[in-house]
Amino acid sequence: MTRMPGYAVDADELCTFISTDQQPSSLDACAQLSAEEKVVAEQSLSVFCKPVEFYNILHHRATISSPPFLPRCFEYRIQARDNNRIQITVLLSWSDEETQNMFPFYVSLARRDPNNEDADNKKYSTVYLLSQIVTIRGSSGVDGNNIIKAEFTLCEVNKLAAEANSGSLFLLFFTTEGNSDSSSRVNASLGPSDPTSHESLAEKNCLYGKISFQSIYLAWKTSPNFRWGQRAEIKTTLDLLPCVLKYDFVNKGTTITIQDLWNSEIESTSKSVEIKIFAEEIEAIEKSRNRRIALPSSSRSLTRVIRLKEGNVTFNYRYYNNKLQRTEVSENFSCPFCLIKWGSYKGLRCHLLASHDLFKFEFSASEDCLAVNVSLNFDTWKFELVGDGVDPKLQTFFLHGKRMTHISPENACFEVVQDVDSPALANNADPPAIANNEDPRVLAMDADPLVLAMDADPPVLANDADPPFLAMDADPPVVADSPVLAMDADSPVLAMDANPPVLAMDVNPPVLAMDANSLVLAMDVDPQVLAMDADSPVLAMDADPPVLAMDADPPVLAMDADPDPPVLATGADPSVLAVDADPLVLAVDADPPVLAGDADLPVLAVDADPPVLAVDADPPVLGVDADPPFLAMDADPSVLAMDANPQFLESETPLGDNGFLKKIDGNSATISGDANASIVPNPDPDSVPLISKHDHGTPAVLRIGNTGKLPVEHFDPQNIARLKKRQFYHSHKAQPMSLEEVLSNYDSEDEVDDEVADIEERRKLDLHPLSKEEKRFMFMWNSFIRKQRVRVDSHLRWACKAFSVLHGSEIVKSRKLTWYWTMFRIKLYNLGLIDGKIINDCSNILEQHEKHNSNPEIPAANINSIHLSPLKNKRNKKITQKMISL
Amino acid sequence: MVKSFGLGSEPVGGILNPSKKREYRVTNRLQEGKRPLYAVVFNFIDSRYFNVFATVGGNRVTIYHCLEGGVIAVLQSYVDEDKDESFYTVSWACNPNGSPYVVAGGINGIIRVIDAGNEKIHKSFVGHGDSINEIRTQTLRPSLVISASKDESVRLWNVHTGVCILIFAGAGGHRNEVLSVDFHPSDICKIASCGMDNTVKIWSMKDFWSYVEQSFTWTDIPSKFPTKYVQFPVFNASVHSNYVDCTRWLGDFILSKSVDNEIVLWEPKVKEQAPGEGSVDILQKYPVPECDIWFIKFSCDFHYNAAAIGNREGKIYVWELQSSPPVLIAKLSHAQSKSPIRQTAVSFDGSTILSCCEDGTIWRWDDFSNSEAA
Repeated sequence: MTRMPGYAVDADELCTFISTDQQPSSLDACAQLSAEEKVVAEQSLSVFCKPVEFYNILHHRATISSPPFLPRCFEYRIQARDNNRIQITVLLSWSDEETQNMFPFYVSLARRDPNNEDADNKKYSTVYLLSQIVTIRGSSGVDGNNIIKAEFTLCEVNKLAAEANSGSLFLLFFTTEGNSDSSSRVNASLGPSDPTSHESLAEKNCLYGKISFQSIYLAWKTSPNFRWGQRAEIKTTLDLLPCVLKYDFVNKGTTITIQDLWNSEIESTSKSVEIKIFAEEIEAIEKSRNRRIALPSSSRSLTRVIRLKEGNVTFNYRYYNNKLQRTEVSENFSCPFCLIKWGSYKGLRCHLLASHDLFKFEFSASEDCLAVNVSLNFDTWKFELVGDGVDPKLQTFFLHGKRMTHISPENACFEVVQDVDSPALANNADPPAIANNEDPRVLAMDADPLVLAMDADPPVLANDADPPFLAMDADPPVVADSPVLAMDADSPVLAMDANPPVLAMDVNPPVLAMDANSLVLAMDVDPQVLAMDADSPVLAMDADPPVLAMDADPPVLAMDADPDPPVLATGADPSVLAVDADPLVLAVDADPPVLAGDADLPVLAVDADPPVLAVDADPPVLGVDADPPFLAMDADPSVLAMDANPQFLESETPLGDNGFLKKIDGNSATISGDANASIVPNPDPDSVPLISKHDHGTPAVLRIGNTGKLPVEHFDPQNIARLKKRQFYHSHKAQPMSLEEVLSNYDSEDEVDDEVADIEERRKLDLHPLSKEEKRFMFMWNSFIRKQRVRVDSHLRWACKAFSVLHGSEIVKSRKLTWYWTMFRIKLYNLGLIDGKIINDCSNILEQHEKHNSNPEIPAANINSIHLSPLKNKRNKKITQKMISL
Repeated sequence: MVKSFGLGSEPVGGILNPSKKREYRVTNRLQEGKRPLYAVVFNFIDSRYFNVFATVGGNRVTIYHCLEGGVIAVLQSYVDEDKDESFYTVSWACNPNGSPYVVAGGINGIIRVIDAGNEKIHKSFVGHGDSINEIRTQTLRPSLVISASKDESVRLWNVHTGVCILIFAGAGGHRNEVLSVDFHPSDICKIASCGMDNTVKIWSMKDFWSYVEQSFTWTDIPSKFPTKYVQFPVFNASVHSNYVDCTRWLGDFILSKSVDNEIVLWEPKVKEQAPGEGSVDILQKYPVPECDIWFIKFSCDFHYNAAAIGNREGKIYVWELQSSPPVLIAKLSHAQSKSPIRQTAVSFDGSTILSCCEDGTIWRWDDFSNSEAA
């Protein structure tokens, strides 16, 4: 805190601070701290030192080398100049009975008109330009002593000196002696300096006197007080001489002509007046005024006065975890760090926020106090302050702020970044990098080979791009309207929001395209291709590695996708056509028909609304939540379909009737259920069909993976040979595993063993003195929560309904269980975890269970379908609406 | 951890004056090899073979026949193909049709189940991660064996189907090598285990009994069996302050020994409401001088009337277990028996005591008190 300019303020003098924060205790509290705590507090105060020093260095640099531009523009300069102006107070006093004749009395500053000087000199008349005319109509004198007081504001001393030395500046006193008419008219006007009030002085006989500023200034110069900024006093006597005063209308009443009269008649009327002139800088006046106010009271009110004074801002430096604060006051809205004066509180505020972000500021302006709470902004200065051992000079940054004219690519030179509007940062670019006409920022890091980007308006981000990267004509700002061509890009290519077609050829590494409106063509793509939100058709040819298409509106065509890895299409609205896809094809949320032909590996379709057609599918086909009919032809291996509402048609399969099919194991039997039933009869008694918007990521999805076993034959023979070579041991049991177990996709190494967890749960419950039903209910709920992995609050909405579905039949059989479940729901409701609708839904489910119990003919499965799959219900509505419109 | 001792009465300590109730004499001494013998055990599983015993030492398992007149006949000898194998423990078991099994385990952590009736290896159990310190057989269901291992776990196996049924380890399990384990004589669900973490733990497999039953009918490959972890014992006692290297049930009481020159008989008072907690009541102490090294195990006759234990100096103390205060039946010593006795075996009626020593010898002691009177 070396250079804080303000007055240190006693801690108990804290101004009341409007802040929601807990008000830190003052230094008084510091006295109550133990010695140890004091040391800690001091240490925490010392964290201010580093940033303050930092700002001091900045300030030093700024003032020595180049003064900041901005402050020059500000008002504070004017104000500072104003403060340096001199205010003079002129006191005239005389003891005379002829008071009547003296008023109105005018005092003004006058400058001899330089244009008319020579011409009028011979006539003993002088032309003056007036300013700041003070009109005095009466005196405040007592007992015939008349005292007149007039105040003027002059420019600052140095400027004044020049004019004063020229001898053309005067203090002018005049009175229209004995002219009552004019005086009355003058009286009508208000304001001492209103020039229009002098209209009446057309041409009159007057008394006048003048004092040259030359003499005043000389007197000031000799006065030691004034040179030190204190009040200077000059006493002199002035003779008022008669004259003829001519008023000049043309110059708006600011020009008068005075002609001296030397006849005896008037001479007798001349008067001598005593004049006292006090002069002081305005700033000093204000200070002294404050001092005067403060004098009678204690130091306590002094500080208040300081604070009250215009431009004083209280800075509270918070430290020791905001418990303590040190307070200083700065004047003239000056910044405590760089000492620059800011014209207003707002200006100071802007400056502090903009220039001193190492601190956090809280501003509070009340009527009697402008205060700023300062605390360290730890976030910022962690990054700002360079750590030990790091030489900031070695950390090179280039900032290009100029806009240059467009240069054709031919002229572009190596290591030139042209036409970059926003800052560009190039780091570690070994080979030449050329960027042309790029409006937004370009960031290239670690780019070994040539990176050429032409006309790319939107941001291009290239990270660690080993092979060359060519992007041409990517015009639009956020959206890429024009085609993007990427050729032979070995490293990943990322294209987002590309409106026009995107063409990617021979792209070895994964290609990621998001939000591509128009046609996307990918040829000969070796690694993964990921397309998300592609509106127009996406064509992928000869894609060796997996192709992932998500949310693709137009049809997606994938041909001859050789490679082993799976093809994943998610959210594809139009039809998805996969031909000759050797590896696994996964289609999720595909609204329009999905056609898969000649798919050797398993095909997985989830949430496919329109018909799904699978032709010649050798490996198992898995379809989940397929609303419309599902057609599978020539399906050699097992077909697993879950939650298929409408008809399911499978040809060349013994079970040709419209049924709902599920096969758990490739070798095991086919189970056919009711076509209407939307619930899979699952061997696990506690498993619930998890089809809801909340269950993404909950175990049901995983469980599908667990049961969907892949036959051994589908492993690459090479892999099998490799797996055969060594013995595998189970990670839990440490027992040798058979090859069949190793190759089966079943994960028996789950960390939570549900059965053991149940046993332990029961044992735990046995410890509590609870009734049998209570234990039963607690066990049901706890094991349900654990098995369904209900982890977060939002899952509870679903969990309550699913729990009602799963255990409803059991719950309704026992009045106590029903009661417990109701109470528990109310508790959840009170905690805000579920709402009334869920409670109602659960009650409805229980009601139906009750009905089902009394009348077994009502299929229980309906309960589940109604309440557990809101998404699907919506879709059902959509379909029925469609059917109506048809 | 339970430290609260006593219910008002101090434990009763035995007096080391032999009561001379029985008089044992050395009738045979056998040098099996140069490697130490760690276990000797009579076959109490099958009454036909009560006089058959097995010893293990090095990579060898030998089965002997105890004949009249101090004669010991070798019946079978099995040598593990791994020369580095060192068996630490052996137990008798049998399959449902009565064929006797010898189950041995040691440093390799592999449990060898030898079908002694057919003289071939029946199964090898892989699963333990480290050496096996003791194997015991459930006499009520002789297909069930339990093994204590250095890998801090206890495993329950079905020798018939080869299934590892349960693993007693985890959050509440032992924190160091498990040295000894024993089945409760009447409560088939209870076992006690002890080890280098100075504790004795009582486990219950009541909740897991369905898996035990399931193991008898398991026909699939054993590795597919849903082996369960039992993580929490029902009782956890700190009776000793050092390694506990042998524990046996005596009814509902427990006999255990550490390296403190004594065997302790104590009663675990399990709180039904709070598993894992409870108190210990130490009932009796059976002093065994010079028995301060670990891995010395005692053994009892079929009816648990007497317990025999060797010591570091090759002497054997035979205590009457079920009398109070304990009575020292006999103190067996021989001038040439100076090597530490790792384990003893008491015959069905206690008339014969066998000891196996560090120097690879087997000593046979026979009771002459009755014969002389006759």
